[in-house]
Amino acid sequence: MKLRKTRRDFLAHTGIAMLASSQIGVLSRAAHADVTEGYRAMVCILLAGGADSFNMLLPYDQSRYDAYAAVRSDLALAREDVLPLNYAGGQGEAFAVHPGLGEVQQMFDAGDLAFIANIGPLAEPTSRAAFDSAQVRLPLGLFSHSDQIAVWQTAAAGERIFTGFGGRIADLVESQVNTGPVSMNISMSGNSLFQTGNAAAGYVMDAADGVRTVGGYDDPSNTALISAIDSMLAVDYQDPFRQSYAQLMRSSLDAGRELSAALENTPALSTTFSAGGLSEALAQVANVIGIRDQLGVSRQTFFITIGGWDHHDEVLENQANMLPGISRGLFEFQAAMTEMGIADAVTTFTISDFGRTLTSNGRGSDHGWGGHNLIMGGGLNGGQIFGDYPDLTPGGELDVGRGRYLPTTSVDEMYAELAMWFGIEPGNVATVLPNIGRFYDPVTESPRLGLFS
Amino acid sequence: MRYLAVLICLSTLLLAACGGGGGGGGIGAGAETPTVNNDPPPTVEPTAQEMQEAAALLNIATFGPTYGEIDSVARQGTDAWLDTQFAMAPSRHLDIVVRYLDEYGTDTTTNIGNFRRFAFWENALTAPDQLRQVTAYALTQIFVVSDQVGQIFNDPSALSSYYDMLLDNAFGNFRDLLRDVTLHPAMGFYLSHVNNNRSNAQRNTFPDENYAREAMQLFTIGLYELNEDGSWVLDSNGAPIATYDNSDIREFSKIFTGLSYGEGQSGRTPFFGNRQRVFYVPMVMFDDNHEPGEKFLLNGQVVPDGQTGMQDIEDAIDNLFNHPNVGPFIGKQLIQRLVTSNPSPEYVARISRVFAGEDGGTRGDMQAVVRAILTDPEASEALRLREPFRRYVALNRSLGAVGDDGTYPALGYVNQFLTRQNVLSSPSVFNFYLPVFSPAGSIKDQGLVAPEFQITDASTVIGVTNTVAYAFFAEQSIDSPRDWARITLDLSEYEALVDDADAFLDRLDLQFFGGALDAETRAIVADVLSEQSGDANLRTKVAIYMALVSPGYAVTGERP
Repeated sequence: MKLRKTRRDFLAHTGIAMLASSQIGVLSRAAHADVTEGYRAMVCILLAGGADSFNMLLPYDQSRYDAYAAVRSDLALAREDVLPLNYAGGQGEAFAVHPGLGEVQQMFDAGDLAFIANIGPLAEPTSRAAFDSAQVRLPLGLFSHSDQIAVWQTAAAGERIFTGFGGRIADLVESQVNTGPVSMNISMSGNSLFQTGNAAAGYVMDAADGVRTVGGYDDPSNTALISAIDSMLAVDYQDPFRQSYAQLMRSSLDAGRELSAALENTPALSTTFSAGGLSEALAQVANVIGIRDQLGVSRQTFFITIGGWDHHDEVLENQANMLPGISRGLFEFQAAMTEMGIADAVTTFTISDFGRTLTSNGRGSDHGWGGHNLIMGGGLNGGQIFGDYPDLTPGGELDVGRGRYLPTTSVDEMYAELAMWFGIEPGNVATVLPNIGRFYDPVTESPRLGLFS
Repeated sequence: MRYLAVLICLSTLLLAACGGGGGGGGIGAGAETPTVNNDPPPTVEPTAQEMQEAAALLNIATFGPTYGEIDSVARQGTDAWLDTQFAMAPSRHLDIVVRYLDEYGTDTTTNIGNFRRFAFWENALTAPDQLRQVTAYALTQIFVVSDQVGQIFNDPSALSSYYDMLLDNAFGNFRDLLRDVTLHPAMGFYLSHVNNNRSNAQRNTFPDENYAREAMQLFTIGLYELNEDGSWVLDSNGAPIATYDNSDIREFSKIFTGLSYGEGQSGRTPFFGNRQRVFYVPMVMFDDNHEPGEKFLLNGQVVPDGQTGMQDIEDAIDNLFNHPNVGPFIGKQLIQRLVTSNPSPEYVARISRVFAGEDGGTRGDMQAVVRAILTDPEASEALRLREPFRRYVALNRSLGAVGDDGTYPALGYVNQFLTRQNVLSSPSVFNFYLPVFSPAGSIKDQGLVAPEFQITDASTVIGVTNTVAYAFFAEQSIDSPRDWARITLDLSEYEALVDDADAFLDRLDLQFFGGALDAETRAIVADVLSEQSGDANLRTKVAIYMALVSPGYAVTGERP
């Protein structure tokens, strides 16, 4: 549970109701934008703990549903409860989503949203035979939360590196796309590996409070207070710990001051966001996107963590409670982006530690590997299931034990298409995704998934 | 000059309520005076050097020293103080929770889930067994259980009894600690091995792997084979060697089947599959639900078919406890939690050898390990970012915080959302930060780690600053249906020194900085003290506020 707190004084920062749509211009859509063209944002939502995504997207045609129900045993959703998608696969394949994902179903059917099936970290292309004979490099710490959360963010499954996909993008393009004091990478959920670069350090807001400042510091009449704090932060510390702390506080105060001032002019939207959870965080993202011009930024990434998905126990009850908040938040955000006229410029996607075992432990499911991601907006080719949804018959080719699925699409392949959509030249994709060459060559080959036209 | 002005306006920004709670009126459990030793101090005055060493030790080995404690330890010496601390019986948390339940358990304006936080604060501020309380706190960040799970929050016996279990084992043997962690129902619920059933071929179900995995990855041996000094053992290709694979996890998952809740005071006969949670007595084994057959442990050890479930568990605990990784893996993390983020390999190796019982000791002797960590030659020059939560505890303890009626509940409502931290409240079993976290910039460039920086970001670095303002300028007021007694700080000894800046700052340096206050920050605080208008109380508050929000204070260790 999340501990409640007083929030009456934070309303000033959220200010959705004051957004003015007049400020927003409609962006033309460019299939091969470079980073100086138009505006683009990526919103990465980490469902921390390893969401059981095989109960978020499941087969619906009778024979494949029956295979699903057989392997999931007491974890199977009833066929009459799930929400069928408007999707026609090649061999009569049909899919449905969890009953808690009503808005997701609606957006999928409207072509605003898609799934990427059986995706996961791979260090290199991995066949079942190679996996069995240990003749292949595998992701570090396979099936472990901390490691798999990390490699989803670093997109370097076989190495221990300390920069993430968004951070490396910022290392490469920030100087071209950002003239303001606030990083192009903003997290609503604390420090993220996803947004850590070699040089770039992201900015962190609070999902509920937005921008924080030291009490009294933003009132210019407090000259003595301001001067004392400024002096303390200017002390030339020799040890890296105090140095880092002072620098962080200095840059936070500077960026926060600019961001707070700009947020005073957040344009009003008629779209409303629900309280708490993903909606609250995405409302902050919408606010910041609304002032992108004042901030002088034309490329942004946002990072949000929604935790609590490690459902070894009570997976059915917990997902029924938690998924509606995800569905609602995504829907509200997409509505806000549409209202602002930039739905095609903002791509939102989920990631999670891993999929989970198809088989049950009697109450829940255990750590797996491949899973299914949601992707929304950005003018993507919606209403599709990208990648390959696996055959769920136990003991099948991709089942590496207890219904842990060997991924058939790598994180690198998905991120490569996002990078190019973002405006990274195909020749620079390997700079932000060091292992992409093990999967395909973005310069000479077509994107593997075809998320965007 | 006025430094204060808008600081006061902050107060309403800083309220944290845990969903109810409040309460007026004395509950009769008056505050004990915090002391660490009742022996009459010898008459020889300690030297400045002795005072500074005592202060540095107590800055890490207590929840925040009083000036009197520093003086006392300087007189008796480190070893004598450690001996006294190791000999003290634990001050328990569940007893305090029960006291609150008796008094307020049916009060609809309170949320009983908060009671275990009340217990933490009461003991952190008043218990004489400070080193034991602090060691148990360090263990809460290795053997992680969290009240971010509703069922655990709602029953305050869960984490108070868990904390008591850590207190009981803090100076005992690691093997007993691991066993008691394994059997504690709060852990059983958190990592889902309570009511973990044997496999069922007909239903295609298998034992839950959760506890098996984390017990190895986080509580004992970690992912890779370690040398005594904490470095990886490398294979012929220079790659680390995994300590276990997923088939090992599946074997250990069979071990941890068959446990369910014990009887406690419920009067109900325990049975497997019981959903009536009893969080304050160890889980019990139901052999019919324990996976039969032999099981393959690490390093070639096999558990034979036909043992009882508890025999299986004891064998598995022994198997993990005797793995050579445990000393360096747990020892290094305890150093990081208690002393420094970056112990040298030699420091880790020294602790590993103590853990292993070399030189005539006993393997797993936690008292010997804690003593060796605190008295290591490296301990006095080590850098660590202070945890946000312990900063707040230290402020209150060192400045004698107490409720107007002698109780402490109001402190249990404080500040999680500003700092992402509270005791036993991490977002996952991976704690608030990973032992290997390193922030971009000069720390990473120098090849160092700084775990506490993982929750220190543009937002929380301001949040932790504002908690200090909350303590001094918002009177720690809480917003709850029941207003627990207001917490006040005792600033009288500083107020008496406001016109003697050197004495004021010497005291501040010793008490909060362990003698490591840098000259520039000292000068800034001295200016604030002399220029702030108002009475001695206000001048004291503003000056201490400024010192405690400085980057100099944020880090423990060598003088910058």
